[in-house]
Amino acid sequence: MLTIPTDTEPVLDELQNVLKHVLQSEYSDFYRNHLAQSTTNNTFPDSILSWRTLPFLNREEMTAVSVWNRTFIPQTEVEAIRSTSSTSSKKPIIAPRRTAGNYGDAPSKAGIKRQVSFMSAWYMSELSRRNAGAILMNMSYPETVDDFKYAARMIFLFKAESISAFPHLVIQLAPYLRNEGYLEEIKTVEMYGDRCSRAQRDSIKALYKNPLIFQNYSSSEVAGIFGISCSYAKEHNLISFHIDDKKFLSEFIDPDTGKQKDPHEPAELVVSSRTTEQPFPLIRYRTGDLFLIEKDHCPCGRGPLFEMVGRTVADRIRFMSGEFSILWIEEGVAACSTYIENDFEAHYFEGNADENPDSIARPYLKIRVRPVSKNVRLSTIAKCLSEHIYINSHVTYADGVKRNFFLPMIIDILTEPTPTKAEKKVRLFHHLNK
Amino acid sequence: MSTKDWHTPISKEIIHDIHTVLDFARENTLSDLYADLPIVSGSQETFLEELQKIPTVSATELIKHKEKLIHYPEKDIRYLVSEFDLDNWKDLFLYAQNIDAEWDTVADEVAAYTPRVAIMTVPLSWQLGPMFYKTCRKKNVPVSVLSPRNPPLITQLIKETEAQMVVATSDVAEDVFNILKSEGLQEQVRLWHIVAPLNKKVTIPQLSGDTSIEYHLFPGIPIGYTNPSSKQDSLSFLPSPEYFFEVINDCCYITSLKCHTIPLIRFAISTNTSVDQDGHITIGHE
Repeated sequence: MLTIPTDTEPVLDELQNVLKHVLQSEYSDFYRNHLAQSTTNNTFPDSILSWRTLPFLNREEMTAVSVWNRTFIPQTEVEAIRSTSSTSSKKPIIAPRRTAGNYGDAPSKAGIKRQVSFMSAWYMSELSRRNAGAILMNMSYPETVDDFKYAARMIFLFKAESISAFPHLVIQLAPYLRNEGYLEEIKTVEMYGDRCSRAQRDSIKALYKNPLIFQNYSSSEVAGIFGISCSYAKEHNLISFHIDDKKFLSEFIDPDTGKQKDPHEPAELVVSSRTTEQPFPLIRYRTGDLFLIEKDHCPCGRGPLFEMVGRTVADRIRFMSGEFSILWIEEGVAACSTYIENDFEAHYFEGNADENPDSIARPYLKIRVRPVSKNVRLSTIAKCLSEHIYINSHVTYADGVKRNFFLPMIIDILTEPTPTKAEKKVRLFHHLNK
Repeated sequence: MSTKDWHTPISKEIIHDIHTVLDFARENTLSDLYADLPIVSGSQETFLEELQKIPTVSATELIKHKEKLIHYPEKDIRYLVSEFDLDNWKDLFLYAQNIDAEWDTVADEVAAYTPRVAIMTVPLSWQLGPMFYKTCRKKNVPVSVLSPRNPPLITQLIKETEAQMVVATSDVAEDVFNILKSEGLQEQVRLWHIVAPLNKKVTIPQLSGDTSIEYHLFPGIPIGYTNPSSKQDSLSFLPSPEYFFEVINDCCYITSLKCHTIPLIRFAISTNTSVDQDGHITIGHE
């Protein structure tokens, strides 16, 4: 069974402290505004149920105000300013950070001394790794084929035993590590950021010859890792983790109704901070991530094991230089209404690494559209879409091609009018490079 | 010695520092990289002559010793990389730097400009982030370290965080500045600290606010800079006080004056070098 904190536990005192901290803050009135309609007093909450009367906090409310309007500590105590992954939305959340927070010491516990991390909060994770006796080499998020070659060379030179990256990045990196003759030297793969599917896990285990795999769950807005793998999960090849319930109160809701939901079925995680250590404590923040209990009682003693099974809106495909979000494709298609109907299909193709070492790193996207008339040339549609479809927060596909980001996009016809043979496929990437 | 030859003025302090570095390098039990360094003796008058008996070394020769460059106790170091360009990834070697090393010029600038937030946007593969973070943290200035590949995002962070100091490459600084300018915010950044490779000619853009140009031998090894408040020729810089400079037959060599984890001793940094009366070193590029 899922352990729900009871009203007798210290959690109520902690939540009261957090509430006082934010409502009486001299630095920010964010929560005074956000909770203006809520009835609270010095003894609130007197129960977990009463806490749940507070309104949810969502991403849009955070991005509506500046980072300093969401900072509840003196500015000089803010160590770093993070942006949510530049590939995660058009308007990133810019979040203040303090070093406090658990960035995971699993590599060190596994005896790993050298890890290469593609994690953007490296300057903080470096501290925790170093304290645990390991050294971290930080790499930028690869965006081009050359980036991958460089990253593989760095991993080889550094003699890294462990890598820490997004799941898809771990897979895409494999052919390049193989070219360095170093693929099988990787003993530990730590994943974060995106969900790792079971299929991805199996691919990684096969590619890397059975490394120790574990996934931590983190987000920029929550500030650090709050889903931590355990020895049982690692030993049993599970990509599930425990939620850090010392620092966060978890709730699970139906993403459609907002009502509490048993996470034995996929349910959205809502988190509240139990401490004031982060510059921006969260109160009932909807993460947008769907969780499922994989095991009620983990032998490690830390309560249930959760698996992240998706997002409330499964709307994006990451690739090495950014992502294609269904929302952004919708917007791009709508913006090209002069040439195409508001209707499309999007197909994502990933190659087979055994056939071509670069193919995993070279996925491609096919968008099938419906021209408004037979007179519209596919190259015109391609040009319009490339200028209106975003591949990360601020970069259109056309911008990305200019910057040597790499993802071929193929524009194809959805239905009649049937294009001529010459027009049937326009490889936009090549088109733009002419 | 040619009439154009030049070296950092020799003082008792300089001699002492070089002796200390040579001893440190020669007697380093963790590396035999410099085990064969000759003993340098002599008075202030003859010191230079003695020093110049030490063979010079180039980056090409250092690469041969790359295995010796990465076996320091890892608890105490971080690694820098030897190349600026991804194109040269095949020649890359790692270069150990003490974990406590700070970016002295950035520290001085942070102290002088007291920015609300300092942003760095150079290629993350340069490994400058930890040094930048440590330096700014000591002055209680929040930092943000961003990939240079997304100038609009960098601009948004500058705007939202009200950052007043940006460390960037020249091209990214120009891109970001142009976006700020298009929104009427060209005055927001008070100091642009441009990191420039020593071996490559860069064009320094016209930016509002002060511009400091710093030349790095490898990313993270600054060896010269211009005054933040002046608009210097991009090819000319004041030599860093952390190194002893020699210009011999148009070639420039540097010797560490601090006990860096891996000291550089008579390390060749460029050809086609000249020095003006004010001590500015000018390096000609092809």
